[in-house]
Formats: sequence, C-alpha cells, structure tokens
Amino acid sequence: MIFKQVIDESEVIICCGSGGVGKTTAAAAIGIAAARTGRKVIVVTIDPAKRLADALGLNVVLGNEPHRIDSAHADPGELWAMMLDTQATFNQVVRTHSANSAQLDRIMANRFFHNISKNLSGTQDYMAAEKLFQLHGDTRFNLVVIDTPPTRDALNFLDAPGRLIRFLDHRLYRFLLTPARGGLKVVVAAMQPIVRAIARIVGAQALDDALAFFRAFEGMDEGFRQRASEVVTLLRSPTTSYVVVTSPNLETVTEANYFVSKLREEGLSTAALIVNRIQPSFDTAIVDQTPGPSSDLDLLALQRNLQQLNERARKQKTCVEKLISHVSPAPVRFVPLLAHDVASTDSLGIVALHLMSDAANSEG
Amino acid sequence: MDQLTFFTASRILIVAGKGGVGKTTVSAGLAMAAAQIGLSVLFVELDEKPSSERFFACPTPLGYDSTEIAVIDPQSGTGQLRARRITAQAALSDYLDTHGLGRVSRRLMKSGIADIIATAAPGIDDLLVLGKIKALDIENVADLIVVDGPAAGHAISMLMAPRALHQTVSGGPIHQQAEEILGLLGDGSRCQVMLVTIAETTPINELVETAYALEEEVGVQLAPLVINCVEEQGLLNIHESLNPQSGLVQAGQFHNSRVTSQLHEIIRLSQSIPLPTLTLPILSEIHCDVISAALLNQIRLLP
Repeated sequence: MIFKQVIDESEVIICCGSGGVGKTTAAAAIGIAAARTGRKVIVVTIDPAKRLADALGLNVVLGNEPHRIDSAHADPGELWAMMLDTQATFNQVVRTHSANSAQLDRIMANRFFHNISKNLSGTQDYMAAEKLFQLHGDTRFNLVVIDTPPTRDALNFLDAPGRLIRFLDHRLYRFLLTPARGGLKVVVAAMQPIVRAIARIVGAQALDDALAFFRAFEGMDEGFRQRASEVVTLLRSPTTSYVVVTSPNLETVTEANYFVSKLREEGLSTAALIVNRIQPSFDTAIVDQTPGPSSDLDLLALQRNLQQLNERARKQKTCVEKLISHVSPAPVRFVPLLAHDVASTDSLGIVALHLMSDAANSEG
Repeated sequence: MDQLTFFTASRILIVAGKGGVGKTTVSAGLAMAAAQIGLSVLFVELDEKPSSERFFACPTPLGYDSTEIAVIDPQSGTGQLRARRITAQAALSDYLDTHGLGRVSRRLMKSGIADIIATAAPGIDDLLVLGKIKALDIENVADLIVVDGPAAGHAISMLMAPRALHQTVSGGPIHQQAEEILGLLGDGSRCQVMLVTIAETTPINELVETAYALEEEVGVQLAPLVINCVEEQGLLNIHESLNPQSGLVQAGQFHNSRVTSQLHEIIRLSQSIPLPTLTLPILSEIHCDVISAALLNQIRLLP
C-alpha cells in the first residue's frame, strides 16, 4: 500500500496523535493532496480553529458550516474547511430526536444540558463523530478529513458514542424517576444516600437541573442509540482510515505506539503513519577544502554542526524505528522540519508534496 | 539569582505548557533541582495517564500516595524528592472520605455518578484537585510542591474553576473550598505558575494568550518563563569559498536559518511579556539530572 492509495480509497480520514505533533497541519495537507487528485474534500478541525485557518493562510474565522477555500493548490478538486462547534452540533442532534417542541424547549433551557457539551469528557469526541457522519452523507463532498480532539486517551473517539448513551441512560435517573413499586422500593431507598451526597457536593440547585434534564430527555434515548450505532459503524467502516501523526521524539512516539496498539485491540488498523518535523540529514563526504580564506575555527564549528545535526537525525530515526515496524505494512511518510512555520497554502502545498511523492521519502 | 531564593519564592509551583514543549521534562527537572539544593520536594502529576515515572527512573507509575524518588544527602536526610499522582477521580474519593461520605463514595465511583457530578457542577473535578494540593500545602508536606500541570488550554480552565464555582454554588463546602483556593491562587508567595514553551510561532502565541488570561482572569503570579530546546550554538560563519553543494555548507545554512527563526521568536516573546526567562538547550539525553543541571545553571544567571 502506498500513501496515495490510502487517500484514494478513503471516504473518511481521521488524523490522530498527541498534542503539538502537527495533526491540524497534517489534516490540511492531506486535504490539499486529495483535492489535487480531483477529490472534493472537507477538512474539519476540532481544536482552536485559528490553527487550521492559520495553516491554510486564511483571514476568515471558520465556523460550524463548510467554507470553500479558493486556492489554485486545490485544483482540480475542491477544498473546504470548517470548525466543529460541539454545542451547536449537540443542539442539532437533540432537535432531530426530540418528539415535540415542548420537549426540545425544556432541554434547550436546561443548564445541565449546556454543561454537558463543555464538561462531560467524550462529548466533544462524540459530536466530532456525529459531524463526521453528517458530512460523510453530504453530497458536496467525497472525502472528509478530521483531526481528533487532543484527548490523552486514544480510545475516547471510538468509545464516545457509547459513553454518552450510557451517561444519558443513567441509573441514577432511572431509579429516581421510576415510581417505587414492589421490589424496586428497596433500590430507591438504597440510592438515597447517594442522592444526598451529590446534593451536598454540587448543591441542591445543580442537582435539580440534572434531574430535570434527565426527565426531559426521557423517550429520546432510542433515537440517540440508533444514531450512535450508525456513527460507530462509520468509524469502523473499511473506507474510514486512521492516520497516526507523530513527531520524532520519545514522548510523542510513545503516545503514537499506544494509539496503534489501541486501534489494533479494537480490530482497526493504522492506514498510514506521518512522522512530522523530522530533521534532515546531510552529506558527510569530505569536500575539497582549499586552504586559505575560511578560518580553521569556522571550519571546525561547521564540522561540529554537521556532526551534531546528523547525530540528531540519526537519533530521531532510531526513535521512530519501532513505531514504523509496529504499523507495518502501513506506509510511512516523513515530513521534514521546515525552516519556517507552515502558515500558508504554499507551505502546506510543500507538505502535501512530501506526503504524496515517493521520491521525496525514499531516503526518509 | 540565588537558587534557594528562586525555589522558595512560593511553596507551590504549577508548570503549564502546550503539548510537545516538554512540560513534564521541565517539571521533573525543577523538582530534582530543588531537591539537589537541599529542599524537601513533592512532585505532583495530574494526568490521568502516568507519564513522568521514566524521568525519575521510577519502576512503577505514580499513585495517589507519594513515592520516594530520591534523597540527595542520605546522612542528613536533606534534599528529599517524593512524587505522587492526583487525579480528579482520586481527589473526589478522598474528598468524600474526609467529609464523612466514605461509605457511599465507592458506590458513587462504581456507578459512574462522578460524571454526573462533574457535569452538574462544571469544574468541580479541577477544584477538588486544586483543593488536594492546597491541603498538602497547609499540611506542610514539603518545602516545595512542583505540579506538572495540565496542557496550556486546560490550565486556564482549571485555574478559572474556583472562581466560577464560587459564584454558581452558593454556600456549602464547595463554596468554602472555592473561596480558600481563590485565596491561594491570588497569593504569589504561596503559589506561582511557570509557563513553558519552545521558540516557535504557534507555541509562543499560545503562551502569550495563556499568560495574559492567567494574570488578568485568575490573578495568579507568573514565575519566570522557560524556553525549551533552544540551539546553543549561535550563527555559523560560512565562507563563500566553500562548496555550496556540500553537506557541510547545507547543514550550516540549515542551522543558521533555525537559529535566526528561534531568535526572532524569542525577541517577539520578550516584547510581548516582560518576564525573565530560563533558556534550556536541546538535550541529547532527557534525564531529570541533566535537566536539573541545566536549570540550576540558568537560575544562577537570573537577575
């Protein structure tokens, strides 16, 4: 498998990796590379949209709606970009599944509901997956590229739909709302200290909000569950590719290794590995030095520098070796450390070239 | 600056920085450096997933109870370094135990009600973690508590949590807890925040945003900044008689362009934030002894 094939054969590409490795840049570069082959691509970012806008050299504020990027780099395909708005997406989902406007209003007015999208871990991941599902069904695009939220737990993204369902389905609410009859009475009584404990911690008002939310949500869980299982199916589809992004240092490589293992445990494979910001190595062949103008000290400093840079390049390669064999036979792409920050479609174009051309990567 | 003065400026030092800048490396190095000058130090890791044990050559991941890492001078017992990991879950459990709810606490955890609590009162998990750190401060467990803090984005929301909860939860133990933590965060002689970055555009932009948000919105005092992975060698002199195609010249040019762009970023940072800085070189070996030596050296150079 070569990298181009991964792009050609995917309908969804999910870029994963720890914070600071250049996931957003990688996602944008994959977007450009795919558009060049004629695909209609939407790049979705989750973390500060500013970074994607910066990477694309845009002066606009990206929002929850796709924005067409007008750039010759995207020819002959199309490049679109957007930022995930977790709350807006959550609202949309609730609107879709609510039985009537009264139920919708009750939920929209609830404080606890608004806290969920910001504070319940995993909600952002789920809404990203939900948005992915919507965009995948949108006929304007035939490839969706997304960078995952900067969570430490690699599995969050896959597990998020289930997690939110379990939360919404919570026993606490079941126990409190089920009228005590027969054998259930015992259970209800047993829950009481817990309810008191929660009230003591969060305050009575917050607890009331929470209970009101679960009450208002009643009846919607079936629709939610159905949709969540469709989303999970898409995440596990053979046309969904997981591209792991890393930088060549011990910390991020450890994270990447962990991610690859987790994917495997889930029965998924890593479609490709991108090693970002790798330092190039330099030719050490002895050059013909005409003695004279260049002082010995200058030459010595240059030689030391050459050795040091090559030593660093060698260390970086050693650092990623195990990871490369871990993802085998997935293609590996090296993106060199550029002298300047990637902050325009021009420099993204260069990164895209490194991703697509085998020649640029033969040496690694 | 005198190293002891530096490390005793506040009892708690929270280290924060964007992913990939070496926040954990710097935190571990600071903790070791303080122990080496004779202080008793507690290193606190906040991540759900342990990551710092390898810096300390610690055989097992850190737990909620502290682990002895090193005693610099075993004879006098000075220079003690211990480490522990405080997660939100463990802090909540501990809180319930100490508030007479120990019996229900295990059931709360098992049934996932911690999620409901965290959602009903946003920021409560952060508050409980900070509360635990505050308790350690009051218990006098160490001369210095170095906290390997959350990533920059989360650092703001974590340090903002006490104020938000103080306003939303009126009365009760949480309100009281929030008030005490606000007092701690606003007192530069008890707690300071140290921001770590590398000399590149995006991390520096984020550092500047974080620094202003922390000062203005939380009122914390910032310790000197740390700029990590800075090239030690300055610009190289490449004589024009040398073959421009040679690896020697190309490596030299690569180095010079890196140095120029790093210098540009460091100047931009100093113009944006008037704080002293500690500069760390790219280290070939990332071990906390190496980092602590580099840090101690830099601290000596501070005005």
